[in-house]
Amino acid sequence: MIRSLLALEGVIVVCRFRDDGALEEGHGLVTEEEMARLARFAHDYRRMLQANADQLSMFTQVSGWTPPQGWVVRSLGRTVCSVGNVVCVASNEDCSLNSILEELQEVARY
Amino acid sequence: MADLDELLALPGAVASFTFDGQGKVLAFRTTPRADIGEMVLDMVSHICVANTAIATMQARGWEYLTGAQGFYPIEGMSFIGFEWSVVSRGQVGIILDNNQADYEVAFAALASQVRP
Amino acid sequence: MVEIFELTAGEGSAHPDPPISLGLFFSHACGVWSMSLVVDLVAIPGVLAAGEFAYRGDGFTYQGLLDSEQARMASIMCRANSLAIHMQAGIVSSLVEKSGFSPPRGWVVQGNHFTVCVLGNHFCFLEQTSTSLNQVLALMRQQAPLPPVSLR
Repeated sequence: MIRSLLALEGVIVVCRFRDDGALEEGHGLVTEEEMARLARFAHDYRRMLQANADQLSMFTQVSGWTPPQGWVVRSLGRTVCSVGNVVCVASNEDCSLNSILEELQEVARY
Repeated sequence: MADLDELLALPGAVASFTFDGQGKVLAFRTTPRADIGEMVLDMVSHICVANTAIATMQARGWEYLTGAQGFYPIEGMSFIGFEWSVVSRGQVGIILDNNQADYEVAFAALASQVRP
Repeated sequence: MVEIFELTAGEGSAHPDPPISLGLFFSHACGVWSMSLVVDLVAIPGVLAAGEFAYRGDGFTYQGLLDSEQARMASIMCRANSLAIHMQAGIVSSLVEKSGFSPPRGWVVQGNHFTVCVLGNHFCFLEQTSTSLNQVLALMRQQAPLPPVSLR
């Protein structure tokens, strides 16, 4: 199912991770070890982001931030985005962030 | 300007360093008894920036919600690892050996040298 | 008097699973609340409050000069930072074998009047002027348990 993300322009790797951060499924042009690292990072980053979202709600008393649906981190050449338990890395030059996020939301449901 | 040699002479200190607002290391000193390379210092500097920023946000939120004072501004941060600890203030940090670390002295030394 | 609270989803529980009972939590995730450390910490002059949060974000206990809402907020904040340093230590140790930072023991933040210390899943709020940070940290390092393997 998550393999469909690889069909999108610019997507280099896509992984699904378990709730403990272990790699469940991965596709793309990187090694299995790199996929496992990406899965672990995405899991840890999500956990941290969720904690920050909890605090934002707590401090501002404004709802609508939790639970966070996903995150995007963009660097000069690459973008990492994640929704639910799915994470992907894409090349900035070629990718459409909107298309990727749309597809991520779709595949993360399953 | 932080005196890195003076900071390195603190009890348990194995490295002292300065970094910019993004976490990039600007200068450092290390002792031969600890194998702390530039990559570790670079990562540790980024950790100092990240955690000080998060703590500042939390101090802000805490003071808004509770009405308490005395938490903001953040004047120092320490990350206590298994063997090493990092103590930082502003854009200066020290790495300490946990077995010999004197956190009070480290925070005080940084406070005397660095404005947050 | 130590008070124990259970958090419900959305109140700091970032775990996707629904909240579980404290009894189940005790036996599977944490063992028991380490009351003695909390009691020892608040007995130190200048310590305002001390407590313990659940790594899963679904409970906390505390003693001292905080009300239960403040203790709830403190446990959420302390847990958030602890998760962050575990991620950071994990990244450092994946780059450097035997980095000396992993597994992380805790963190300290100093404001202009108060200091917050967290070792393991225990937190302590103290007044800088009237408390020995070294004494507090030594006690916490000695008694606070290491985090569960799943966090390391």
